[in-house]
Amino acid sequence: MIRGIYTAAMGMLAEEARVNTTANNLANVETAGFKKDTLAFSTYLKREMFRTESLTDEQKRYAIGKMESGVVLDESQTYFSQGSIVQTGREYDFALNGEGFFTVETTDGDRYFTRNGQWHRNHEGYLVDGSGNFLLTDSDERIMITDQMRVSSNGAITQNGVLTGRIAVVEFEEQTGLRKVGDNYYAQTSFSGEPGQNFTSQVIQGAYERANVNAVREMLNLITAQRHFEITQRVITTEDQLLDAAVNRVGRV
Amino acid sequence: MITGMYSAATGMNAQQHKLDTIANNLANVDTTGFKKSRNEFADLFYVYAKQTGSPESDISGSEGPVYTGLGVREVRTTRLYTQGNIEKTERPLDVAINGQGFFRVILDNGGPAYTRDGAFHEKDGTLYTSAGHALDGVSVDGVASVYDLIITQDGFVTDSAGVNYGQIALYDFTNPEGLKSIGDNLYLESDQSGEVNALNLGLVNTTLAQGFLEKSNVNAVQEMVNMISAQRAYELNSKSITTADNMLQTVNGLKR
Repeated sequence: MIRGIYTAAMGMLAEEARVNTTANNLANVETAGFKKDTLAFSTYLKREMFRTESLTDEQKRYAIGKMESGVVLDESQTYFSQGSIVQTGREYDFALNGEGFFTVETTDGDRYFTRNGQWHRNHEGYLVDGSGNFLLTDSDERIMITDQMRVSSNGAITQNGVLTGRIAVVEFEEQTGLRKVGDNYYAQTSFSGEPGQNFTSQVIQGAYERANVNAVREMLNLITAQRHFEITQRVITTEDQLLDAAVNRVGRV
Repeated sequence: MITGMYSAATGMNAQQHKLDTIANNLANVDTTGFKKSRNEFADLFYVYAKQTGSPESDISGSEGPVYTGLGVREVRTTRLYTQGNIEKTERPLDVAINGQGFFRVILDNGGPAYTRDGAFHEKDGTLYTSAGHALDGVSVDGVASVYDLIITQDGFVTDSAGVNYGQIALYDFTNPEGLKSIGDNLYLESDQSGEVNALNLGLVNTTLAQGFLEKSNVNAVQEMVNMISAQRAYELNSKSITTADNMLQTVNGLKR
């Protein structure tokens, strides 16, 4: 009976985490290139239960089934589906269609990857993102804007009719292994593998990719989280009533 | 659950900023030479956490594969310098810029400012913007009537007798999006915009059009759609908060 209280409490904690993740997805519904997160849960401490025939004889134990003691968060997963693409006609908006990522170099020299397509020209003429970090070409160079630029679907940059480089669009063997670090960036991990050359993604100039958050799905998440939370709360109060009966009424004539 | 409430609050804040920007764009839908803005957002940082007792993960370090995002932040507001529609007015002192560049005007403190608003007015030989700032570089002192003035595509101001009154110069920046807006349709040079450079109208693909005005580049339909989506996103975020609130209430119901 006591164990049931803890099992139910773990369910409540899991739903709390689900609401946190959903709230973050909804907060970023207008963030360019944002990819939503989902949570994976797993059962906790699954074990065999035994019936013991005799207290002295170890052999006389019979398995009567399995018992799980609640639910835990297994991992957060980023859901990398394509977001919708919105046309702006702006020269420095690039959308990615496919599984690739842009490569960004910070002023400290760190490398990150992003799907954010809202780029800017800084005061030195370099192409940077909203946080001021540099977009890289496939030869790891920063992009200097000297003239009106045209970007073709394979990322090739033409300025004043001259090919001046190619925007690096990279893909990962296991993109779910990428780690979110905020600012629309992903960092590579041992899970994601090294960034590899991309052959499938298209760059679309004059457009950017919106977040892939689906409002309906997130609202469903909120509803199920809340109701499941209420149900498990009811389990706890029921267990509490049973305890009340056991403590206060058993033995009273 | 508390973090979810705060994440949702950042989301509501972001949508409110977006609505502020849309409202300003719509308010200036008829402002000559106005350039619309948009907000750009990025996700805030992530907290990597793990519940005690859950299986060890392979990801290096103490951080587990369970993370919680903490909401959204506004990265910047970007002014979009796309060309506005050009409207025919047939007024001799209306000048539209077709292409890149800005007019330079002199502020009351003597410093320069830049504008796309080409509705000028003549007083004592000087051309002023509607807000009363003098256009730099041109003096039409001595002209019989402003209706006699001819402004060429390259900015030369003459009259029908061929008297030269100077050239309307245009200026551009490495990064116009970095200019600082100070109202009255004026922009100031900033660290982000880079140094000002004079445009050679004979070389670049920019022309001046006398008798025309550049309207604002705000597209009312697009702004309305943006407004609808901002309002709905605001409501969605408020639902996260009410859900979290209901759950807190449920928690309170645990103990009778």
